[in-house]
Amino acid sequence: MSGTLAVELKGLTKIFESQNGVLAANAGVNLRVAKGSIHGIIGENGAGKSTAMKMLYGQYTPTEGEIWIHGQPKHWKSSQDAIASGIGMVHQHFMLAGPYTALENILLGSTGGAFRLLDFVGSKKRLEALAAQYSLPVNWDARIETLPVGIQQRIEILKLLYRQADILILDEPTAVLTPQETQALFENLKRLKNEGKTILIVTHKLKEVMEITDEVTVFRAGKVTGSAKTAQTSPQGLANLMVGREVQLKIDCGAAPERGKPVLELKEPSLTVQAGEIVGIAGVEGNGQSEVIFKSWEKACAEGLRVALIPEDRHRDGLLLERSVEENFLLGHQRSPQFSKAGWIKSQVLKARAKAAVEKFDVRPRDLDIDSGRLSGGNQQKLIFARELEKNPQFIIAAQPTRGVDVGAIEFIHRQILEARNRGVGVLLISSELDEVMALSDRLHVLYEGKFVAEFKRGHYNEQEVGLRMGGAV
Amino acid sequence: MIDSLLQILSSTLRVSTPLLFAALGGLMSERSGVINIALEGLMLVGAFTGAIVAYSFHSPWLGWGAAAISGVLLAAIYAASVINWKADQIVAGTAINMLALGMVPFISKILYGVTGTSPTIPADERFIFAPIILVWVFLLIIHFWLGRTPSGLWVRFAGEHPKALDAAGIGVKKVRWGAVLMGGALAALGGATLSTMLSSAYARNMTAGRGFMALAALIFGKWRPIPTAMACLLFGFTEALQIRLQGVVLWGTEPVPVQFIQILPYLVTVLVLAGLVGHSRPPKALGLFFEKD
Repeated sequence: MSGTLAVELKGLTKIFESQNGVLAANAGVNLRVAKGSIHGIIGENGAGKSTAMKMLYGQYTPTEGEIWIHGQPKHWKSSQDAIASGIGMVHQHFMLAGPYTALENILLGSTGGAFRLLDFVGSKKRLEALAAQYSLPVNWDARIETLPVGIQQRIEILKLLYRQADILILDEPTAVLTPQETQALFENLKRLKNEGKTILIVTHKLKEVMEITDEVTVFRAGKVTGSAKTAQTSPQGLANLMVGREVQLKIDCGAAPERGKPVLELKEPSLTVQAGEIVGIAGVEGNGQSEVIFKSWEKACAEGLRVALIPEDRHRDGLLLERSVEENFLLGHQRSPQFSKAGWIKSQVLKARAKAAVEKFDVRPRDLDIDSGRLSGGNQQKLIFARELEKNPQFIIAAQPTRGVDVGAIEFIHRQILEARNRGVGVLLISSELDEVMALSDRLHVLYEGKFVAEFKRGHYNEQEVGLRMGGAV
Repeated sequence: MIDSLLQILSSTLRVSTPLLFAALGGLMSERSGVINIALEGLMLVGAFTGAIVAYSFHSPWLGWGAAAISGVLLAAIYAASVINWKADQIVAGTAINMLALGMVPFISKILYGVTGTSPTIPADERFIFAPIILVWVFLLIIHFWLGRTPSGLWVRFAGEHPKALDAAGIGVKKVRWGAVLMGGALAALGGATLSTMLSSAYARNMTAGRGFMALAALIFGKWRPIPTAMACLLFGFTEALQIRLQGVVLWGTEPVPVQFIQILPYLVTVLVLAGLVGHSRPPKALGLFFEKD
């Protein structure tokens, strides 16, 4: 058996030491990946997937444990050693420098003397041949910043193939792709697999795991909690392993309430949200979502509505990371007569209300005094919901509400949004997670290059169609 | 007329040489992601070391070599502070400049009992034109090296996307160290050119802001070697013009006061930076400390 293993991690442990103490990002991780297979690595944020992959790629040195490649133990000093052993990694945030050409970005990793002349002409020829072989054409002389994300990913993959990697690690490769681009990527991965390459794909999307992988390993809290042949498992089973308890994967929206008066009417781009409905906006990131959010917020506030805003970037716009949970809960309420009198905060009231909210929204740990920056992503988001819903809003703008949030918290957040709708609140939901907007929205707009290019009613759309519109197809 | 024009042109080449050395030093450092406002101090130390070694050993070349070494040593203090110890690059750079300003008169006092000027180097032990040629050779080498060699790519990625360099398995800190030390040597050579070619001794604070002018040229040249050299020539030209115009009667009967004429290079620097630079995008990671996660 071990003869056919491309990768074997034995008791791999990584301990980070910092001012805040010691953190075991990985504790005794065991992982076996068969040669010529596609292996899914799944787990929630902070479960230690990326840490394990970075050790495999030589970026981190393990504190303990062994890495075996094709039956040989390996001790790497840097990624260069790992690259020399045939391992390549496509990082979630691409390792490409914008102002330099695709060719220069590929040649960055080339081996040999530091002061020799680079062979631009020959390298380009070989790359063109390689690109043709996989039918992944690239303009090698174009600067990276002028190329779309899909092409950039293509360059990253070709970079690995150019270095003759036979074990490919892809970290969240579909996060930035449209469904069509995702399909194209998967076709290529299958083809690479058939050529005998071994592929590890890190993801949190269970649907993709089921679709593309042969085997799957689940991480939770720095440990491996399960490993199975994909065919013998189910999304539900995997989700339970990831979270460590039963989770509700399917979103049950129930019947929508009677719609009320519009809470938002925008002219440019044209958008209406009525009380008691969820209007979703689907689109690849960077297609004008921020503008829509800002305009909606401005308009609704100008009309004197109570508006709850779940911002796109919670670290930048949602929380003061270095202030306590309690103070963050107060943000935006500090002038409300409920919480203050003659310029002074009613600290007793604040404490009581914050405590109740943290309880109700299940923010863990239940500690009002710790910095909000020390909460996990899911708990930070729950804190923001707790604060915003304290306004008893008439209109909710929820932007990327589950980004970087673990499965358990996603379930909770979705329920909050649906309950608000059922109480007659108008909800504008902006999300790049297609599954999420499709499941929650009563009506769905597709945003492409700042314009709404399509509108669908619940039950009248499918992923294929919405995906095509997201990619700009007419 | 033709004569004075030629005179100004040759003078332009001469006075832009120290500037160009320093600007190339700054370019090395900044393309790797390390801001270098310490150019002024590095030049000053180079000017002093170059002058006293050339004088003591009767060889401008030895003076030059010693200046380069002094530049490397001073740059090493800077590199350690900002690359390893996470010091703010502006603050640490300013500290290096102040260190140079204080250290040079101190050593001069020990050696010669005066804080001002070093002994005059005899004319036949000074450079006549060698640095002028060398600086342009260095420029071409750096231009091709940045564009065509692996280590040139490393320097560019260290300044633009250090994580990508790290992911390719190359140590960002090592690359930055190398670039900052090289930059230190080049800036010090600029200073030494000042004291062993353009004049005959080290004079107190003789760099007079040229390090900052070199930095301005670097920004004006959008951190690219050839345009940076052109910017240095422009600054050199205004300085040559300034020297030529001193005491000349431009209108009326009295010459323009020399103080007004001397403003010229600085005025051009300000105007260029304020108005003409246009859209100049610095390396993305410029000034940012790099640590593996």
